[in-house]
Amino acid sequence: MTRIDVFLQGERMKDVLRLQLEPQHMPPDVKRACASRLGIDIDAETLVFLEDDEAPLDEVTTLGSLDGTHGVRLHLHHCRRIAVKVTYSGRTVEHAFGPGTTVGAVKRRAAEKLGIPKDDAAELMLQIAGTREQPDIDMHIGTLAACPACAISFDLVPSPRIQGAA
Amino acid sequence: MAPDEKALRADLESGRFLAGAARRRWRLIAFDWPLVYISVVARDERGYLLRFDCSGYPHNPATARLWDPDRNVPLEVGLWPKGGGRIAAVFRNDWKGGVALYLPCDRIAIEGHDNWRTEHPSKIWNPSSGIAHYLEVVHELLHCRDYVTRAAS
Repeated sequence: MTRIDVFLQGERMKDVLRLQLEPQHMPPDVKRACASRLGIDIDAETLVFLEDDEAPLDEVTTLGSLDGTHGVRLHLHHCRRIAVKVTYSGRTVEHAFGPGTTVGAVKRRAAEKLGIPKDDAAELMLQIAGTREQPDIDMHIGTLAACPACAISFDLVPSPRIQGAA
Repeated sequence: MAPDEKALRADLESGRFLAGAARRRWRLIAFDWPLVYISVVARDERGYLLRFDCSGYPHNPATARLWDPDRNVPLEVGLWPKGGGRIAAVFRNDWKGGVALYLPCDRIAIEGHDNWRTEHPSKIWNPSSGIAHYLEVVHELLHCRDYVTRAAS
């Protein structure tokens, strides 16, 4: 039987973890495989989310039943929601996302709520407020916000143009 | 196997690299240590092959240039990504003969540009992120408004 590529991110996980699991495996199997690979404990309260979904998976969902077009992308987190604020040009929009939501999806939603045209939004990036850190579009916001705070603030900033002496 | 080659091979098997490949953001084409050839997909689905030199990886930044896979030579300028603004600022054939992408994460480009460390800290090479970060930077660029798609050119 063909194994499924699972790309896992999570609270306090520094890197994306790739697991190869069986289609009949379920969220508890994912947690066990992750704990075994990383040599960490994952408690029963840790929830498993499908990327960009708001609600956690139930414990009997099989990996084979999930859309695996680009690999099955999951997230482990204690929080059900991450409170996100995005500030642009003096305006702030807020929304609570599932922790497996990508930075790219947060940016798209914020741009829509701020009325920024798609073409203009392509020239903007999310930067963690108070830092110069601009996470990649595929990073899950739960990776950036741990329990119990379960919140993060971004600024929407122009993508930089590289300039320097020739 | 030398530590730098071992480190690069490990990063090409990392979740971050493989997740990007699975999303079809980039594709590993060939490995010929210390060179690695990776195609990055633009917003018009066109793939641009980069030839990375990864000597000293990951403590030394990689350096990359556009490459022609059929002739195994640098890609001719007429086939480079087209566009003004941010595209023209990075894909420069008027700088060192186009030997590298003009990016803060590139080993050759960072030389003499210490100002980039403070101006573009998120674009600076980070050994813990390695080649995946370089690819993310190029992928973002090839999806910007300044990139002229084939349909528009």
